[in-house]
Amino acid sequence: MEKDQLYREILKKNDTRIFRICSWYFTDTEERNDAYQESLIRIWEHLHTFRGESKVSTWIYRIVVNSCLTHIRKDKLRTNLIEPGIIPENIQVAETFPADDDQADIKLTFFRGLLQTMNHADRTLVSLYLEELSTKEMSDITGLTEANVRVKLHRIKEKIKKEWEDRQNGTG
Amino acid sequence: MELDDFKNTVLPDKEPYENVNTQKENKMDMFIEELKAADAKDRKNTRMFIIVMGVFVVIYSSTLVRIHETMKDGYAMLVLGFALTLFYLFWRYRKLSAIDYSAPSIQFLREAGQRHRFMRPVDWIVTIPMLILFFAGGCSIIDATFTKYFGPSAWPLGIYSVVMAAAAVIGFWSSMKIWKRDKKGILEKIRKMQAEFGD
Repeated sequence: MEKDQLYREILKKNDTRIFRICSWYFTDTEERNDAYQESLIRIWEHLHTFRGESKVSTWIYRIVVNSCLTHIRKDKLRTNLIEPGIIPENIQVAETFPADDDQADIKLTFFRGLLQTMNHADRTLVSLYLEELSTKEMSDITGLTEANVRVKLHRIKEKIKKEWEDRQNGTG
Repeated sequence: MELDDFKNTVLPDKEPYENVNTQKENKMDMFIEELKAADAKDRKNTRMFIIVMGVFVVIYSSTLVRIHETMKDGYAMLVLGFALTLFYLFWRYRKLSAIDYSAPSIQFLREAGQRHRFMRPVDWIVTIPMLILFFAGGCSIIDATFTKYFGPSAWPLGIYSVVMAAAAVIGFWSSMKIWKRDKKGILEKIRKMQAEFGD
């Protein structure tokens, strides 16, 4: 298969997830779009290196996560190559909740704010967890051991629950 | 509130291309064309670099053949020094464009940390012989030239040594300043991330 055909196939199957992972990393629209763009470029650049040793999705998520981590540490933003229309139009993040569900809206806003206070490892795990990846896949992507992934996720869940309860009780 | 609440909420559409429109396909085509153009540019740059290196080696090798016997060693060392510099720059350029983004994050950060260090062992291994070659080659040529026209004297070599030492110190100092400005902050962020990943 030609490189561009393969690339197109990969994007067709994964671009929503790529975009969502970037969305969990960055609340700022411009930064999120830049990270998404950077991920697409890196996937293109590395397409010839994929040797089928892992699942395509695992390979892609590694690139996306590493692109997000790289983007976080960059001070200067890249020039935009990407056309705004490439970003999945029907992707929903904050708008996913029913409009009349105020409580859900508040929860999401709170959760996204909380994500921004988390360290990069935790934020990475949350974004992968929300994509319903297995512990094994998360371990393959991050390089953490499976046990470590489980422990970290458990702590993150506890933290979210506690922070929310504190907020509800007015102590947070 | 549970983390799983968001798992169910934010996955409404698995296949955004199911209802894709033509305009979006066109934009994707344009994007792929941009990527192909960037690939072509990268290949062109690599080719140019190799051509420049080839031309350089040919020109200096022919000069080396024609040059006076007393200066041959000096020129040979300078040519070797330049060649080493070019190969090193080429190697760095290739290495930089071969960053493995598909590695697990911990490994990716570890490698990024190595890349952003100031003067890695390989830099010292290349820089020291390079400086020695430039210094020895220059000394040999200057000594041969001055002896030929003015007779033997220690002054030209002394002045050359001071100039070379000053150039090396200034070069080191300025690269450190540039590294501090451009890379130190990045390296600190990478180390912080490494610690967060427990590495």
